[in-house]
Amino acid sequence: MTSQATPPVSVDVSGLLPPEPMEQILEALAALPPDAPLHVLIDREPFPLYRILERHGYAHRIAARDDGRFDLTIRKTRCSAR
Amino acid sequence: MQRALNYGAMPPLWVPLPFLLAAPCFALAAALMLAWQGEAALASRWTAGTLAMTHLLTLGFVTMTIVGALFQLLPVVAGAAVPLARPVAALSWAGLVLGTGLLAAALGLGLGPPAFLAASSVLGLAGTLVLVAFGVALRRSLVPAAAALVRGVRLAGAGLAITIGLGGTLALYLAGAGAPDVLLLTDVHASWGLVGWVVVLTATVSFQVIPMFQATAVYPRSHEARLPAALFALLLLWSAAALGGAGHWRTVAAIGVGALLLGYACTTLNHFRKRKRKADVGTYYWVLAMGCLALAVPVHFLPIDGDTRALLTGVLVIAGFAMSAINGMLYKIVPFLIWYHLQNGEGIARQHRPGMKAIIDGSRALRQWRWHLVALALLAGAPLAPAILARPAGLFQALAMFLLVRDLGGAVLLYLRLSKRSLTPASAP
Repeated sequence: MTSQATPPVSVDVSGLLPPEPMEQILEALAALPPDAPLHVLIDREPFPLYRILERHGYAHRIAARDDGRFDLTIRKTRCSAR
Repeated sequence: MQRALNYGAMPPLWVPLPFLLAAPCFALAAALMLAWQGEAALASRWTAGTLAMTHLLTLGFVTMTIVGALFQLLPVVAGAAVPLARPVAALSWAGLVLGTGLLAAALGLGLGPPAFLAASSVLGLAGTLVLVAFGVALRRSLVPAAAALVRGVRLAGAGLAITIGLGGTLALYLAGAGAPDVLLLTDVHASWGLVGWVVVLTATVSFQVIPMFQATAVYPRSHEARLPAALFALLLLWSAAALGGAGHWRTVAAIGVGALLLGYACTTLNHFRKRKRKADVGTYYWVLAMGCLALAVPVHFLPIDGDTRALLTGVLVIAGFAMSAINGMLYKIVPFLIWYHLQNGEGIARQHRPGMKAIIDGSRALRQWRWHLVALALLAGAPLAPAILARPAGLFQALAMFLLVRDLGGAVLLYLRLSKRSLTPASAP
C-alpha cells in the first residue's frame, strides 16, 4: 500500500493589511504538518516574505490570478539546512 | 520553483534605520530652535532662524527619511536593489547629517563663508552619491507593476538634483562667490525642493502605500502615471517664466500646479471617505497631511503680504503635509522593519518574537499625533501672530518630536535586547 500525499493547508489572507498576511502565513507554517504544502491566497506579491522562506528552508511558487490576486504555494524543501 | 528575483539584495536593518532614527532628532532640533528664538524665527522668511529651521526640517527630517525609506522601498516594491547599499547608505547618511548640521549652523548662527562652502560641498557630495546609487538601481525594474513608481522616483530625483544645484549656487553666493538674483533664485530653489522633490516623491510613494497600508481603493492609473510628470513639466514652465520675467506664464503654471495638488489631495481624501475599514492613527496622519496640502493651495494665492503668504504656505507644505505624512509612515515602517528582521533573524525562538503591534503600541502613536496636531495648529497661526504663537508652537513641536524619538528608540532597544538574548544561551559552552 502506497502512502498518501499530505493534504494541503489553505489560508486566505486577501483583504488584510500588511504585515498581517505575513504574520498569518508564518503562523500557518509553524503549524503545518510535515510534507504538506501551504496554499495562500494573497492580494500582492509578498517580496519581504521570500527571504524568510529561503532562510528557513521553504520553496515557493506564485501565480497571478485574473482578479489581480496571487496564489502562493509554499513547501518545505527536503534537504533544508535549518 | 523560485522566481528569478534577487531577494538577497534586500538591505540589512542598519541600512534604512539610521536615516529613520536621525530624522526626528533634526525635527526636534528645529522645534527647540523655534522655542528658543520665538518671534524672531517666524517674523520673516529671510531671518537666520527661519532659514536654519527650514533646512533642519526639509533636509534633516524630510529628505533624511525619504532617502532611508527608498533604500528599503525600491527592492521591496520595485525589485530594484541599490548597489553597495551598506557603504552607500553609511556615506550618504554621514554626509546628510554633517551637511545639514553645518548648513543649519551656518545659516542660524551666521558663520562665515568657509562654513557655507563646507556645507554645500558635503551636501553636494552626499546628494550626488544618493542620486547615482538610486539612478543605477532604477535602470531597470524587475516588477512591471512598479513602472509608475520608478518613473515618479526618477522625476523626483531630477527635482532633487535641480534643488541641490540651485542651493549650491545660493551657498556659493553666501560664501562670497557670484552675484545672482538671490530672491528669485531662492523662490525657484524652494519651489523645486518642496514641489519637485518632496511633493512629487511623497505623492509617488503614497500611490503605493496608501492603498496597501490603509486599504483604500487604488488610485486611477492615469493619476498615478501623469501627476508626477505634469507637476514636473509645470515646474519647468514656472521656472523658465520666473527666470525669463514672463509673469503671465508664471501665474498660469502656478495655477496649474495648484490645481494638480488640490486634485491629488481631494482624490486621496475621497478614497479615505469611501473605504469601509475603520480609521486608525495612520489614517489621521494622512488625512491631516492632505488637508494641509489642500489648504496650502488657496493660501498661496491669498492677496496678503508676500512674506507672510510664503511663510504660511511653507508651514502648511513642510510641517503640515510632508511632516504629517512622514511622521505617520515612521510609525508603520520602523515597527515593520524591526518585526521583519526579528522574524528573519536566526536563533530567536518563535515565542520570543513579538507581534508587530507589540513593538510600538497604537496608543503611543495616537498620543504623538495629538501633540503634533496641537503644534501644527499653533505653527500655522504663528506667521500671523509670531509674538504670541511662535514659542508655544516650538515647545509643542518639541514635545511631539520627543515622543516620536522615544517611541522609535524604544522599538530599536527592543530589537537590540532580543537579538542579544538570542546570541547569549546558544553561545554558552
